[in-house]
Formats: sequence, structure tokens, C-alpha cells
Amino acid sequence: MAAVIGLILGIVIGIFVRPDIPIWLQPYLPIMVVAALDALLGAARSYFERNFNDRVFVISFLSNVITAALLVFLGDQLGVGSQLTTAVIVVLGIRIFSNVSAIRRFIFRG
Amino acid sequence: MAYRDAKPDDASPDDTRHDDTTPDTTGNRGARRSARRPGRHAMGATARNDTSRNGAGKSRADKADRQHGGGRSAAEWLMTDVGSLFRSQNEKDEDNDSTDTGTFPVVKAAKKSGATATRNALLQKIVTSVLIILMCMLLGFGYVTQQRNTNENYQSLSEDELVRLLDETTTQVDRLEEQRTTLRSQVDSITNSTDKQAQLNEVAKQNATVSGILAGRIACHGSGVRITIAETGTHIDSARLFTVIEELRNAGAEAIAFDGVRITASSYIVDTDEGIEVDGTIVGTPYDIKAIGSPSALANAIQISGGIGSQLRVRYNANVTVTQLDDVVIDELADAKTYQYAKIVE
Repeated sequence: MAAVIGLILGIVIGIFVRPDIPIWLQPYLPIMVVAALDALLGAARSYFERNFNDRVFVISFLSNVITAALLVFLGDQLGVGSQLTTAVIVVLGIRIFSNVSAIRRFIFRG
Repeated sequence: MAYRDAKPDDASPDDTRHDDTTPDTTGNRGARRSARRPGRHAMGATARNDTSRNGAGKSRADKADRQHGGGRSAAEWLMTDVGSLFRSQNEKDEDNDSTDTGTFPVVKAAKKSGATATRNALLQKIVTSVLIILMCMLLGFGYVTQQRNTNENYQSLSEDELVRLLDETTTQVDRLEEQRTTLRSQVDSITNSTDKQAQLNEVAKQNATVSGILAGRIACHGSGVRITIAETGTHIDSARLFTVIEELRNAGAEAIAFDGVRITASSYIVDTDEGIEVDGTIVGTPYDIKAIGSPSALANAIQISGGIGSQLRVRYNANVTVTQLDDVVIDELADAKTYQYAKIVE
């Protein structure tokens, strides 16, 4: 419930505040969003598996986001930014899918 | 607690439950206990949770699963409200978590004061909720920001894409400029051709005038001379009269009329039995010749000593008078000639 409330709050704030993201952050924001989504789904899965932990959630959220951004930053420095972005997105997408399927198994017990 | 749940996810193995914060739960007989979770996710057992208990818990869990999920169709599941699912999951969890097998004596935990425990639990819950809300807020905020950013046209493009876009734009500009040049040259050529057409028309008009005068189809007037040749006894043959015309032409006569007949490039003078014939017309003495040109030049051409004028006077005793005039009108016209063989070169 808290997660849903937080999501709605964040979206509403984002809509009304209309932030101007700094130019250096622009390549990393989409990656960070996907990483955060992965962390959120991981937390949901761990909730269903009943070993959810708030500290673990916070740390995994932040570390996911920071790691993803750092990877892309590193890729930019090495000149393979777009490829590494794709790689990160693919990995995070796979994780999101596996998390969602785990959650689905918990809901539908199938 | 020393048990471990295998967790492949980022939420690392941890022994703290989401809904229970009391630190020591080993001996608690009550319903709210944090114990190893039965079922297929259990990986190990503590010293106290031996195999028999493990098996008992597992069988109970399976039973609960069957009770809950066995008889329901997929459609019913889809209709199910997720909230009620969560609630039923909680109930089930509590049921499954119970280690109350009655096999072992359960030692009661040293109970904390109830008020503190409740307050701690509440505090922890609030902190957890706040953290989750914060994280999800960050996520939602980032999502919306990124989405709006993506909607803007060029800001979200990477350097490569921008360079490519710039290249494309430049290429397009080049192409358009090339096209413009082509079109402009076309316009120029069309304008030129219209000008040329007008010039041609002008030239054609001039040519028509000139050739009209030359061909004798146009009446004209201007300064010139009038020559009268009167025979006195001796017949002047056509060759002499033709010489007069030739002399006038050499002197630059632009239009000549011989006794009422317009002289053109194809005019002829022949002797016939009836007299002199010019272009099919019989003419007789005195011959009245009109010529347009420089009056003095024309007059000199006739009057020059030893010229045709003196020859006529001396050899034919003819009376030759040459009058220079400011305005000679030649209104005699030659018939338009139809050419049988000559064709215009295109």
C-alpha cells in the first residue's frame, strides 16, 4: 500500500513540479528509472516470499540505481555508452520479468 | 535465529520479517511468531526444528494450499481483488508460521513490556512505510520526469543522434539549395528565351521592313534623285538603261523605280519589238527613274565624267537630267514573288 501511495505521490509531484533535469543527468535517468523499477519489483517479490526487509529494500534500490548509472557512465567514458545502456536495460528487463513471474506464481499459485 | 531463506533477489537473505519486529521469537507460543517458513522455500532447519517438525509444517502448508487454491478456477482468480489476496496471504502466513506442534516444549520468551514492543513495532512500521513511500516517490518522479523529457524533441537525444540529425539536415539543405539553383537557372533561361523571343520579333520586324523595301512590297520615301532620260532619235538599248540602274545600285540606292516600275533584285530589262520591257511592262521615252539614297552619291554615280550619263549624252544624244531631291516618293509596288525552288532553311 505504501508503495502504491509513494508511486502516485511521486508521479503527481513530477507532473506538477515539472523539474528541469540537469544535462549531465539526462543519459542516466532512464537507466535509473528502470533500475528502480527492478528494485521495486524485487521488493514486491520478497514481500510475497515473506522476507521483505526495509533496509535491504532501501539499499538494493539505491545500489541498483547507482550501479546502473555508474555502468552507463563508465560506458560513456569508454565510448561504448549506448551498447552498455542496452546491456543494462536487457539485464534489468530480464530481472523484471523473472520478478514479475515470481510474483505471479505467488498470486496465482499455479 | 540461524535459519536462512534462500533468496535469489536483491533483498538479501535476512531473518527479519516484514510484519514482525520483535527480536526474539524463538520461544513464543503465540500466533504471531517469526519462525522458519514452511513449504518449498524452506532451505534449512535450525537445531530445534528437526526433520519431523519440518515435515509437519510442510504437510500443513500443503494442506492450506490445497484448501485455498485447489478448487478455484482461473477466472475466479482473475476476478479476485488483490487486496483480499494480500489479506488471505497474511492469514495463511500466520497459519503456516505456527510452529505449535505440541511435540516440543516451547519456552516462553522473556517478554518485553507490551507497550514498548507495540511502540517499537509501530515505529518500525512507520519508518518502513516512509522509506517505501520515499523510494516509490523517487521512482514515480523519475519516471514522469524522464517521460516528459523524452517527449521533448532534441534534449533527450544523444550526441551521436544529434550529429546524425545535423548531418541529415545539412544534406537536406544542400539538396534543397541545389534544387533552388536548378530552378533559378531554369527561370533565367526561360526569361532569356522570352527576351530572345522579343528580340527575334524585333529583328524579324526590322527584317520584314528591310526586305519589304528591298523586295518592293512597301512604298517608301526619302531623299534621293530623279533622273529623266529622253531619247532624241537614237534608240537607247536596254543594256544602257540597265547600266543606269546598276550604277544607282552601286551608289547605294535603297529603292529604285524605273518609269513606274519598282526595281527589285530580280528585275529585268529587255528589248522587245514594242520597245523596252521592264518586268513585263513596256516603257517608253522619256524614261523617268526615281532612286532613294544619298542624293549627291547617286547624282555623282550618273554624272561622273566618262560615266553612264556622259555616255548616254555623247553616244545616244539623249537628254539626261539629274535632280537631287529631299523627298522622293516611291509608291510603285512590285508583286510578291512566289518561289518555286528556294526553300527557307530552318
